[in-house]
Amino acid sequence: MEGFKLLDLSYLEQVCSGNKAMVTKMIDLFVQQTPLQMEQLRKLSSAGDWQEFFNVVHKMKSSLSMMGVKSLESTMVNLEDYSKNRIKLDVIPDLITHVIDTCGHILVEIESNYQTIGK
Amino acid sequence: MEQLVTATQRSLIKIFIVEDDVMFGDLVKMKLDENPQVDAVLFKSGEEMFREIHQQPDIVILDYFLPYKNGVQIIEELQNLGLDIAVILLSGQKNVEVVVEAYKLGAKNYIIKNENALVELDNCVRNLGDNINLKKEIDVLKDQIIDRNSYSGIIGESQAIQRVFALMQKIKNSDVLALITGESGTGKEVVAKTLHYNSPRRRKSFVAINVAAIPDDLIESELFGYEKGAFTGASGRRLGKFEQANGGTIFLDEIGEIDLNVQKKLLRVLQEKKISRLGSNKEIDLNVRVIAATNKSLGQLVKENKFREDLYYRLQGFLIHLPPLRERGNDVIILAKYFLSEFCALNKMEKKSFSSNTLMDLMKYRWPGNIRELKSVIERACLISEGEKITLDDLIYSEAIN
Repeated sequence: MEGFKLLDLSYLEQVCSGNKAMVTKMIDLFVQQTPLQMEQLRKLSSAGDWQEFFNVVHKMKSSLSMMGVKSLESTMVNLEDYSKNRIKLDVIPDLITHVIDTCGHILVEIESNYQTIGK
Repeated sequence: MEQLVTATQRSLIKIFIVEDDVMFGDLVKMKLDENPQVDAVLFKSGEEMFREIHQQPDIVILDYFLPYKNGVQIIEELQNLGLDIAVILLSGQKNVEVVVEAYKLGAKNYIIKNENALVELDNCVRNLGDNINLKKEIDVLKDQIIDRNSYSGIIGESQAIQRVFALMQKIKNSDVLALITGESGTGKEVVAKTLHYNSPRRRKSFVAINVAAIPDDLIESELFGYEKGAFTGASGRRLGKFEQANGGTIFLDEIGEIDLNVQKKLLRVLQEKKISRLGSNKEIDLNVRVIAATNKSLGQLVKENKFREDLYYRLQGFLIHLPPLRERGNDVIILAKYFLSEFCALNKMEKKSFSSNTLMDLMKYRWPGNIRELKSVIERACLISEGEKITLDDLIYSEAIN
């Protein structure tokens, strides 16, 4: 776990009361879900479906928070705010790119450290 | 009691979690599954959850942002179903209006999704679980009371008692005022209880009050309650019998004995379904079924100006006349055998029976005290008798005592 720079699994480990199987399952779910959600963010913003976009951002924000990803906290809050209130829609594409890039790095980080997780 | 404990131990707290965030939903479920008293099921939307609502969950945990309907709308829908379900909202939504709305609609708790959320949720579920288990224990006890007061509690096969059964059946689902008449000891309170415990009000209170047993100057405060300082000695607020019975049934026994001044107030209560405690002008709405009983002729009391004519007519809602025991033929034997068996069992005595001439004698007797007297005679005979048979020598009737 020491190889993580973008993630901090201490909260997840704490709420899982040291249950390593539970921690591993959560990480597996994150790895499965995140690429799908990244794709959804792109599609929904292109389609201008801001209500559904907001729902996806809201869920991602909760998952990222669970995985201790602090670097995206303010971006996710802004995406929620802008899509919910339909404001600053022009900056959303840049924010999405930032989220997708960071999530990509996170997934790589998880993959390269996966062998140590749960041990 | 053993049966009660076993029933409680067996019951798990059924929890429905509605969360479309797969990760958080799974985490909540896994956390709750650590509690061996919990059976948690995860749903991704309110629609999915409502399809399984027939499973009657004890607790529903809702996210706010959900597909189709949000958490608050789901609470509203749950309330409309009228089910006894505790709802917890577990959401990142911190908007005060949403929180207030959720509590207004009856949510038991609102937990913000933060680093303490799952610990808070676990504590909340444990506390609610204790209450739910208590409720379940009370339900078991209520069921036992309902069983004890089923129609089988009225014993007899005579035509006279069958007619009573038929009348009782006619009003079993109704709130109509019932007046039970009959001589003393014919079982008026048993019939009143049976009516209550076989009605839709069965899980609410049955409050009996013997009007004749309460002094005239106290009857009003007993029936309607009072506020602190309403009269000398009223040191605090007290609920009256009508309020205690709210939602259920009040049984006014020996209604013919009620004081004329109170009769006027009682008539108003029966007509307007509202009461005011003594010392207060505030009116309290009542939802009470009234069953009254008397062993006197109310019509005669009206003629003697001891009973208000308007109240007399108001009480003629549905009349059930209980026959005296002397008109119930073989029921005397059926009841005598029942009381004997019950008394022996309660007092851990060997089973006893009646000699044939004893039964003949019981049938011939007039039973002025009706079933109450029969029960006493049988219990006394059971104690006096030496052997397995109860004989004529063991029967001591009230006249002999007098």
